[in-house]
Amino acid sequence: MSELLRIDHISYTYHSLDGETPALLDVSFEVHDGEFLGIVGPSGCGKSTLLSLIAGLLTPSSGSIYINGKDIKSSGKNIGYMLQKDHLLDWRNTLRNVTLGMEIQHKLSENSYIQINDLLNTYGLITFKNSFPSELSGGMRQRAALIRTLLLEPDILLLDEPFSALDYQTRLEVADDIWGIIRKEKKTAILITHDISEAISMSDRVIVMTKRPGTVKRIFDIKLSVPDRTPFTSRSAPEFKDYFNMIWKELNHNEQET
Amino acid sequence: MSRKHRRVLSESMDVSAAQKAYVKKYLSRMRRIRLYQLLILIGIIAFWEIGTHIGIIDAFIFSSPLRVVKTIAEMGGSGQLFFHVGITLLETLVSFALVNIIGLLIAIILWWNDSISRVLEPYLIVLNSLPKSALAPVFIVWLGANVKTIIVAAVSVSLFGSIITLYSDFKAVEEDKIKLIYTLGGKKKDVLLKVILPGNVPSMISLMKVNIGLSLVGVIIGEFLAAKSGLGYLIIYGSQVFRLDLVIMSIVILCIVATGLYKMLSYYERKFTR
Repeated sequence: MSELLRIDHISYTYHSLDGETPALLDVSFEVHDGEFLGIVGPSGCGKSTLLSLIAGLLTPSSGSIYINGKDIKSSGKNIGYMLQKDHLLDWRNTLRNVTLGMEIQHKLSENSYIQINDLLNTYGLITFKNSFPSELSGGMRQRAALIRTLLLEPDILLLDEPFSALDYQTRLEVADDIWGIIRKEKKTAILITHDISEAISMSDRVIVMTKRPGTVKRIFDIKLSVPDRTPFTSRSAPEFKDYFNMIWKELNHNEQET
Repeated sequence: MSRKHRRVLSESMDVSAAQKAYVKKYLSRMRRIRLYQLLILIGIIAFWEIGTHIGIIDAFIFSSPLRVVKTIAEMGGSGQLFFHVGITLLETLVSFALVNIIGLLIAIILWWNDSISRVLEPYLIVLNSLPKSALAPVFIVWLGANVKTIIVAAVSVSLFGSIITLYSDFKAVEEDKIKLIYTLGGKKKDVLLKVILPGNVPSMISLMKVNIGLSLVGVIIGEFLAAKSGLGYLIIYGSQVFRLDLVIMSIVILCIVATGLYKMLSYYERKFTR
């Protein structure tokens, strides 16, 4: 797998009248093409800031981000960002919600509806095409939000605790769903979560971050011996609890340190 | 209301007896409420009319339902009534449209540019708290005793409140919805057109419901001071020449006009907010 994204010694500081808050300090790692990377860390460790930086919504105070060796600003690569909640717009039906991104980027044409219908069909939303968000289940809403992102053909998908608003059972289902879709579409993804099990079950590698100012503490390669790996089957892999304990220790160790 | 009732009824076609009983009880309660509402109206009118005949109410000062009806018939017959109602209605609708258009434009500008909104904030607060009726005489001096003054007075009554309400509604839109637009590659213009404006349609309509009433208030104040026609003029003229029939009739018609305008907006509100 070749390197797709490189985070190169980036730091980020928030400024307010009360003073400055360093959110990220000298963070470096790389993401390979087609990889599913999990990032865990205590709350307030700057995980969301990191995604905003990668998405280009914020500019790092220092350091650079490269995609395929080119600086992120000039790479012209598309980055898809899934927020904590699905944020479907209540006044738009499913079809008009999933096309929102294309509409904004003026990519919507007669031909795109073939692709849109295809995706809606594959992911079980075609019969809800004209339904409004209030009529959809939590899982369907999250799938619609993912399709909205996928239609922009992102090279990298950023997932900012995308399941945290769901109840536990739905959460497991949706994690399987979304993971399956991302794998099927062969996308590179970065998942941020504070749920250790979720990170292990979905990721090829897990980065553990320290408390604020966040920096990379340790990186785990997740190798699970299960056939037909899905987030759900991963949870029953023999190595699962070992990874869980190791990551748990890393996180707690760093609590005690500070 | 009646549409809701019909739905309740049609849904109750194949349901349990308990549900049917519940629906029946609900409907009979609604009917009772309607009945009481009607009884109060009839009671007031009857007391008023009879009172003037047996001498507890002085018909010269308080007029009477029959006299009001007679006045309506007289003025309606000569077409004068429609002229005055039309003028007031037209002035109200023009002011209402101006308030909404100008208010929306200014609120968008304030939302777009935080510096402008901060600079103008104290001025908006002062203008909003100022009793606008105090300005009406000034407008007469500046603009003359004509329709212009009436419309400016009416606009001034609700404009500043509208701007402040719309602006704070725009500001209250969830931060993450705005972030969503940026993550989809949108610009500030897209935030405005895809989230801020469509997301605030319900609050804009409820603001309009307030504004239509305020516009009518402004128009009537304006007509008191600077008009040769309109319901406000009839009220002032009637009270000056002690023709209270005219005054009361105008007030009754104002009630009908105000309710009509409000109902019209409620209808659109239901249409736009599912």
